[in-house]
Amino acid sequence: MQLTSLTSALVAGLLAYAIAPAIAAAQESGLALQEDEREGAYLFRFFADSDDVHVVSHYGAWDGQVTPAAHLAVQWNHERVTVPGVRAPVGSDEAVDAITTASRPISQTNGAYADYLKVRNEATAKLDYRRLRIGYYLSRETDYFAQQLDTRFDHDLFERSLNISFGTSYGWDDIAPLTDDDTPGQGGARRTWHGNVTATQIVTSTTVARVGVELNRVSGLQHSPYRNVYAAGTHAPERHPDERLRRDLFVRVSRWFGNESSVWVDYKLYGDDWGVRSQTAAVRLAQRITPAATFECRYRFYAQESAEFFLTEYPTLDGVDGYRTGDYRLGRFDAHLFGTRLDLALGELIGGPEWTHPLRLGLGYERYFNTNDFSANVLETGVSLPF
Amino acid sequence: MGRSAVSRLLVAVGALLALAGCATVPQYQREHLADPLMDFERTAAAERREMKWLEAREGSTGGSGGAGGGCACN
Repeated sequence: MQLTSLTSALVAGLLAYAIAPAIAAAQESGLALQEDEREGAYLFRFFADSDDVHVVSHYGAWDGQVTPAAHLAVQWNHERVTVPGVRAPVGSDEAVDAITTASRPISQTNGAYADYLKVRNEATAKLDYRRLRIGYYLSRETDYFAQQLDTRFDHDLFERSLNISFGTSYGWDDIAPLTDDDTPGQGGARRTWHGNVTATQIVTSTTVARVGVELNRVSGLQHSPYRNVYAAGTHAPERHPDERLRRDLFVRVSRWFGNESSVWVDYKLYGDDWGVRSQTAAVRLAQRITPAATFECRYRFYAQESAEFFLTEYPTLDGVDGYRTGDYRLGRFDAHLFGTRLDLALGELIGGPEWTHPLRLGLGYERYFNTNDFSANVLETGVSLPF
Repeated sequence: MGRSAVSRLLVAVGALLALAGCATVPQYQREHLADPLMDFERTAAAERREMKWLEAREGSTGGSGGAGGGCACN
């Protein structure tokens, strides 16, 4: 815990050090925050799935120019996850948290057969200074504490027809499981290093393409401390490898059409050293109905192969090479997602006072289902106001 | 970084550089590219939120651009 406090203090110090030049520059030039380049936003999100997991999220965001060369963005999120009581043997999928992937504890003191409420708070700060970005992320739950530092640099080439971006991040998580009656519930730490290179190219006057590669190296505890696996006729705690190397290559093409619409096409190829391979393809159509209203619809298809040590039932306690998993995300399945969204310039539509004209309202709905008989509905609504 | 990842990166960047060498779209013809409907960053925050709950249901990660890049059209 002392180490956590120390790292938090260190991160706060680094951020202050990084932001200080921008603030100083603003003071020297006599600039205050530029009043016409700030925006506040609030977003409400509701998630409900076929396992009766409910998630209510409240997002807040503020961003604005600090100096002509520096832009600061701050976001926070308060999330309440309700995981239903256990209806099947402990360690089954019913107890899996929809958002954080951490399972709920199963114990008499936590009321295994009653709803379990988990609260998560997170905050993000990002500072863009010329072509450099630095950011800090913090997330806290009762049994999980995550932090991340990230940075990126991008550069334009060929008369700004090509942009190359390099990004990296380092995350460190501390996992301290609550009392659990049927597993040892041992905690641990997880470290994640991420790197990416992204290239964005103007292809024609109506087409832009983006290509990128990402690499993630994850070390430490990567299984659920609450989950059991059915092995050799009994239950044994889940056990995953401590190292995972994850790679992906993605492509996005965006094309403009003359009737005030655009189409995006996405493709992603993913693989890791646990044997999981996946492909994702998506298409999104955005249509401006009026100057004050935009409608979007999209479809996403996802297919993955299982990890090398994934079995639905293990004949021995050793599992496969010593590893056992009850996580269906490491199995083979396909998934589909349909989404729609309506964005309205509310102030203009209702004809209110002038200060309300930049007010925007967003309404979104997504339907997700996969071949594991899982489905989810996601509702999202939010307002934003530049000021 | 694995050799295959480096190869993919080189192929991807090489392909884009090759495209860049073919023609450069003049600034005055980039009107539509600057439209919000074409801006990749417009959906970046929503994609990060979506990726969070999708990662809780699927075995892969990434693809939303990571730290991202500019739209190259401003």
